[in-house]
Amino acid sequence: MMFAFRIATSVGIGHLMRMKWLALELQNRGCQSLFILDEQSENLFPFLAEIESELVYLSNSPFSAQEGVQEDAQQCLQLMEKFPDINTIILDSYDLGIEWERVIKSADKKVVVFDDLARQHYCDILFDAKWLGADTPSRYKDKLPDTCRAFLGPQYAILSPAYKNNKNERFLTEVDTKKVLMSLGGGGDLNIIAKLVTVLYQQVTVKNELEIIVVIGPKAENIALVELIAKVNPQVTFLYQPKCLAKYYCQTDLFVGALGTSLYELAATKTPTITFSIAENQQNNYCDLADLGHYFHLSTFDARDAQQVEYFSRLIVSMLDQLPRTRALRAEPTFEVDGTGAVSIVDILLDADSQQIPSAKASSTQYTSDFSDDNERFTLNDSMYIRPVNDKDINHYRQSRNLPNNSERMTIQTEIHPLEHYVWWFNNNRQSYVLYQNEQPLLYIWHQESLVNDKQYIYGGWFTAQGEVPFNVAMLALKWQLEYTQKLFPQGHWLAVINKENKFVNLLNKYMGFSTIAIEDKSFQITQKLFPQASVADFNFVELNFTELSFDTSEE
Amino acid sequence: MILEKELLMFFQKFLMERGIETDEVSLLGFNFVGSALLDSFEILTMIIALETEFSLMVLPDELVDEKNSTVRGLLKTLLTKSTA
Repeated sequence: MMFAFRIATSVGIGHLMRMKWLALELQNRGCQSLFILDEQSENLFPFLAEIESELVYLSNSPFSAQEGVQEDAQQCLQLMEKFPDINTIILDSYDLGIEWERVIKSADKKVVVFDDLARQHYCDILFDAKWLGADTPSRYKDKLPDTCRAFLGPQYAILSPAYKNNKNERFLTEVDTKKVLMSLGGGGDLNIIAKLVTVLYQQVTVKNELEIIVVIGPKAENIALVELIAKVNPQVTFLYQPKCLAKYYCQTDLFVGALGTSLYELAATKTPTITFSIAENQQNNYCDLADLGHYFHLSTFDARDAQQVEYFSRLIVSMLDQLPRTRALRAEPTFEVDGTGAVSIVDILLDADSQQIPSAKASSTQYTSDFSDDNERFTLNDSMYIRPVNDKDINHYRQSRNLPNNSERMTIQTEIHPLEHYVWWFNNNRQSYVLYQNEQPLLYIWHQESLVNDKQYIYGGWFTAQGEVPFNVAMLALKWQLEYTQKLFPQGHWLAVINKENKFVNLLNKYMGFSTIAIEDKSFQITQKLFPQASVADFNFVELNFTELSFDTSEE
Repeated sequence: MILEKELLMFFQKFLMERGIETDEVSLLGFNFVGSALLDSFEILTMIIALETEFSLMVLPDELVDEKNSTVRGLLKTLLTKSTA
């Protein structure tokens, strides 16, 4: 059996590489392949050393012209005619699409398409590895013929065989020297990495305990800058144009770099990762990335901003200092990427080639709203419960806190940047909880203890997790919190600040037993220290002793 | 029986003061949350007033109970409390 591949190679070799791994898997199953590539000056044969494939370069017309697409398809058909065993052509190209597919199909050939742009197609089978959470199954709704089978989700990501069942080895042992791998992919401005590395080594107390490996891509800019830094910091080493990073991903404690094509490879090796976007197509939803066990992504990072570089370095240090937490987030993703995408795809291709392709709807990963682990629950009633916040909540917590109806009532009303939040997350002593109603997170509620002159103070607050919180739910949450903290800190003294504009919460706290703190009271000064951003003009300062609780808790 | 009348008068007066006209039938069916005519502050004000005027406390757990979202339901709960 033989398969034809039509692969775009005019811009980059990403499509070619993934099709190569697919062809290799076909080859392992006794199938041959014909690669039809764009015309170009560069010889691509060295990239295809692992496979025994027929290779043809097409002389193309511009793809934007209708005739160019038609001609391309006709040339492919003519080439396929030379190989009687070929009945299927696999297309991986952003330049060619539905019109090209119609021409091929009209010659009674099967068309298999790889896409990640959710375009309309006229094909027999479609694969798209892009993960968009709950929206994944509907990405191609009304865009495919009824007879087309669509296979969607990261289980169809085609990775190098080096990633097959290859996991990060740093999980296995306790390490003295922490290893960080930094990469911007094939290109990128290495000045970003130079700045990060410089600040990072200023923050690390024992420099020998941190090794940094910087990947230098073929189109990287400012290489001399990072090479200069290595002269000052010998713990910095380089990988020049590596063919495969699998073994490095497996031997690093933390990967730092551009999101790009490494997303699924890092998910496969379960390497703890911080990424940032350096291109528009690297924008991803936090929840979708978290499904892959990737929780630390910066949609914006400006290395020219000294404060951002400072926070970024502190985040790296914090994640390395707390590696068990960092690793645990990677260890059990909602969605496993195991590097066996090519195997699954070939199973489908060979099965489809021997059988009538049944009419079917898109099959993809079932999305579950597994928002977080629930190790400990406090049941409030049949539909509501509270559980402690855990590290998987890190992004949702920030997104909720930044909702306008929350931030405008807080002591810090500006939006919290992800970097600032992540650093805070690893270094705070706050006890946070989330309240669910009908399995939907409704509000976050938190408290923290502070000892001042041997007296135990508790301070805290709450904010909505989405939309407005019904008054009765807020009341129930506050009641739970006061009862809970009373058990934890029987001698504790509650302090809080409430935005004067928030009439409901002011009244609610009064109802629960809180009273205004007089300016001359020593509790006032302590409250000011705990909430340094709260001005007397904008906030009411209130306190509560548990003896003044307005409801009876003796039964619980 | 006297308390029931007093409570009904309380609810009617409370709503009227906020521009919500009701008759005997519509008053009983009035939904504090579902009507969207009262905000959180107003509802809590009502709960506090009930406590102040009638010494009847409505616990947060009771407020999240759907049965108490209408005047009829809350009235029943309050009357049960008053006889307990």
